[in-house]
Amino acid sequence: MSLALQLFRHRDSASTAGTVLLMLAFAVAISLKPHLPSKVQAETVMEIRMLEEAPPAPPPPKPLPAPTPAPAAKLQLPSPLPTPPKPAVKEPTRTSPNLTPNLAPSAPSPTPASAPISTTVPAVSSAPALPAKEAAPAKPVEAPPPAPKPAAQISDGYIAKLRAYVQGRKRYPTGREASLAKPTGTVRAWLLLNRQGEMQDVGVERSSDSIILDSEALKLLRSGHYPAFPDEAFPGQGTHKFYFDLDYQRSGEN
Amino acid sequence: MQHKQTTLALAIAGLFVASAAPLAFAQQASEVGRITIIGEGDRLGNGYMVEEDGTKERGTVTKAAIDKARSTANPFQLLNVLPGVNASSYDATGLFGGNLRVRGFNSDQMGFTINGAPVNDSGNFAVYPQEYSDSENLCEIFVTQGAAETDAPHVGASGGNVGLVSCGPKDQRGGKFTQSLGQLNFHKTFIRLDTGLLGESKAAKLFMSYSKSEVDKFKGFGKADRDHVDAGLEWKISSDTKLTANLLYNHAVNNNFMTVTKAQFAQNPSADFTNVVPQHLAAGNENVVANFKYDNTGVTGRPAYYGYSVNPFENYLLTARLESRINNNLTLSAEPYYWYGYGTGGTEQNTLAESASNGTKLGYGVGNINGNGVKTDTVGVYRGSVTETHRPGITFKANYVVDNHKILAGYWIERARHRQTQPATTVDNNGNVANIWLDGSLITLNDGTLYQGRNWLTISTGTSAFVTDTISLANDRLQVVPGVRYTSIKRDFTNYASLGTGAGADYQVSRSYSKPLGSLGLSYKVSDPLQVFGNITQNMRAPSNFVLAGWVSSVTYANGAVSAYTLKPNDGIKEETSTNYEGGVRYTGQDFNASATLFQVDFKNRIAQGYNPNTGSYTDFNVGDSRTRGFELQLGSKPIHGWSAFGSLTYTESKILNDFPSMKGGVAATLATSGKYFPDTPQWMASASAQYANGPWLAALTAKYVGKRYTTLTNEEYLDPYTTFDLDAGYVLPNFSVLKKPTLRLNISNLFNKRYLIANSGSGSNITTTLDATYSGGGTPTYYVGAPRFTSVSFSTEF
Repeated sequence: MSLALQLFRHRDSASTAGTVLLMLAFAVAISLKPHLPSKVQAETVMEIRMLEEAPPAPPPPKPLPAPTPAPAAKLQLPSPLPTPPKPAVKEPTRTSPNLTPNLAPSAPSPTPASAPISTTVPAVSSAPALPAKEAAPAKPVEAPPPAPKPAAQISDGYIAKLRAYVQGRKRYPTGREASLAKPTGTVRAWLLLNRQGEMQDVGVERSSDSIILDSEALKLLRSGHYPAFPDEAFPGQGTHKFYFDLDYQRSGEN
Repeated sequence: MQHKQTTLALAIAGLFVASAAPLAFAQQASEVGRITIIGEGDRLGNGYMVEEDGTKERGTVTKAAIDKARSTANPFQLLNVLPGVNASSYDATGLFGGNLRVRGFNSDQMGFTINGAPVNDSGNFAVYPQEYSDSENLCEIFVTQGAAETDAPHVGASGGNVGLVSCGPKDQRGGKFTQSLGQLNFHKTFIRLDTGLLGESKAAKLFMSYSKSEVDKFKGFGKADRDHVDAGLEWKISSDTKLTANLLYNHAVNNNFMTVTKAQFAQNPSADFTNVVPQHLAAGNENVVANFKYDNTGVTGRPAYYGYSVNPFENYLLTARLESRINNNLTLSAEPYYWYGYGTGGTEQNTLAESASNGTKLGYGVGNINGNGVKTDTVGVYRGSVTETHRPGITFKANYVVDNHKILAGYWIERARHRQTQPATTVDNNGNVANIWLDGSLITLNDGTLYQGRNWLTISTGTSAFVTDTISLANDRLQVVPGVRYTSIKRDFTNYASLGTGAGADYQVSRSYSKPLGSLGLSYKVSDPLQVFGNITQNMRAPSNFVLAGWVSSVTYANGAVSAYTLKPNDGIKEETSTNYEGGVRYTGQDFNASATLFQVDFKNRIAQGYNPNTGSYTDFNVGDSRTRGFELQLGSKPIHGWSAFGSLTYTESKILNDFPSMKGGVAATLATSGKYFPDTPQWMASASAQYANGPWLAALTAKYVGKRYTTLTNEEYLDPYTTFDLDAGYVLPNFSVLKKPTLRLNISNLFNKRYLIANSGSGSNITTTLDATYSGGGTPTYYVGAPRFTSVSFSTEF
């Protein structure tokens, strides 16, 4: 009885304390979460490399020019290792079918006017592909220039990375207009990057029929900070264009 | 670093090779694939947060959060955990309504919309949240705590905005059924049917829902009884043109809760209206204690009969939105609406004195009410203030994108026909009212015309022309949003002679209030996770229509009609204006999002009852300025092992900047209010919500702390802080036969049965100025009583 009375008397402080406890629980819940690597772009490049070194090198690159379209180059890329296990990658990354997995060591292209320095030689080092397996578990940072990999695979790795990055930044438009119009639809938009990962341009290839969504999609792509291309990716290209199908939906209405 | 050098080396090497080798062909484009973005959900802060990136502080309650709450929850209850929001409900279910304050502004100083259409009362801007959409059909509730929405259709918002958005019809044919049961004979049955996409072209879809709810009052006698219909249409006329339409119909008959003084509450926390029916006397004066005279403050005598304090109301609201994309740069839309409302409220228990036919009275005086042949009685009657509103309006908008500009321009116009009367009807000795809606069986004057204690017609024509330009700079990381609107309202007020005070003769008066209002917003994404934002916006609120009433004095009648009178205008009232300054920072992390906002609101010419030097009387007038400063924090986590959380913290320092012009003994006298806190604006508020969702289980515990708040302008009386806890739990059963997502839900409000009081004060006239009753506007404040613990369960299923 007296306990009940005590409790009752202190109900104000008890309830305030309760609020504080809730806040604490909140903080703890957050700190308990296993620390996932942040998807900041700086490390991105390294992650891609690690990844590419993981699978045993497919067909060893031909010694010299002969730009053999390696048949195995289309092999499915395992999704980037350290990405959080969210259901992010719903559909496998699709590489443009005619994206030539061109290993040509001599594939520099004249840089488009917009991208000044960017030209890089894809697989300049013709170093033998042997150390691949050993390199795999190695510490990421000091990794020496990697063993040559099929460019397509490296490019796909970059695309996967790009996808994960955009996944992490995507948002449904907010504001009074969007709240009232509740737009849904798919924007097919493109992003043009130079080799440094600098945004050169963005555009809408196919509109969602909603200006709000089209603008949001462009803003999403335009405002990003993108990683530089791995040296071997997109060989011979000063810039590269990436197409996204951004599908905006609203829950509870379909 | 190492890597960068390598890249550089390679790049340099590449340059050499480039000059040597001919161009090789490589595909210059890749597919990244489909990325799905879903607009709402439980992904952040238990559904109490979305990823904002605008220039204003703005809070959102998503469908995920709405679905967890009790099915009858009204929008005020749902908004309560957001930063800045101080919401209260007169009972746990939300069926009786409640009040809302944000940054010191009362709900009748904020702009409310449903699907874009304004729903504040067209005369006094009051808001009745219990009338609005069934929560099952609501997809989103948003609030801008202080900044004006330039494109919103408001003339009565010196504070922020609240918007409700209905869910559209679903693509699949089906429906939803919910049955809720709880304490106090609570029940709500909800059924919704969706047609799914119709026809060959699958262009149109419809839904319709009906609900019936009832719950007893937690103290005293009586109940809430609500019938509600929602319907929606979505029709994609072509790939560029879309029509959406929504209908809302509400029919409610509620008994009122009695407000009590602190002393009354201490003596009897359940003090309420009585169930003793006042009895008619065979003849003579019924305006005596123990008959129709009442005293709700409970000091002497007894309170009114609960059956004569009812709130019957009927509304419908039709909204539509026709949107057409003209080309890739231009979208036009038209958003018409029609609001209708009819009802009465307050305590209708009253007495009327009969009169022998007398030509020096309006209409020869009140006739024989009780039919006893003698016209000398004072008879107990049911008399209420009836309001009927017909309010059509439309907003036209153009959304134009060119280069880095996104221009939104538009025009809003509405015409509200607002009829306010106060007729009376008879009651019997068993508590039966001849017509609680006061639309028949009405008492007449000796000349056969209707008795009216008030008889007004106000035509309010509101318009707003607006344009905002969202300018994107620095790769869309910087947004600058200048905006301007020109808002005006014209009130054409007609007073028809009635027996009300100062209303004895016909007169007409028109007043216009208008103002250009500017806004400037800015947001800058410093890095991917970090954004800063800020804005300055101006708001205005026109005076209520009742400031145009009660101007008649020295009226005389001959042959039952007006022969002479004087008009004594209560003039010179200006609109209230406020300037809202905000600045803040948002963090968008992998695990949680957070925002912090600093704000200041300069509020000028607040309208309240005070001493008006122009007329030398105590009437609605601009009583002075106030300044509110503070900060609002919020934090919402993403689910981590099923756990997620939301929390908010609000600090508000509101200061009245001048002394209050009052009267004492009929003479102007000021009250020392300068430097005092604004009423019902707690310095501290906090909320926290922790949720655990795992497979079919979900449980959320939500706490809200409301700090000490004053209830008189002179700060002599205040209410103690309180914290309430609510528990919402659910279990999703496996699909069974045609039943999809059958769900059992448990909702407990005020888990620890905390006792507390809620301020009963609107924005102006009914704020008690001081406890000293010798001042005009002084007296003892009365309060609503916070609802005790309340438990309900529900079963819902889709099919």
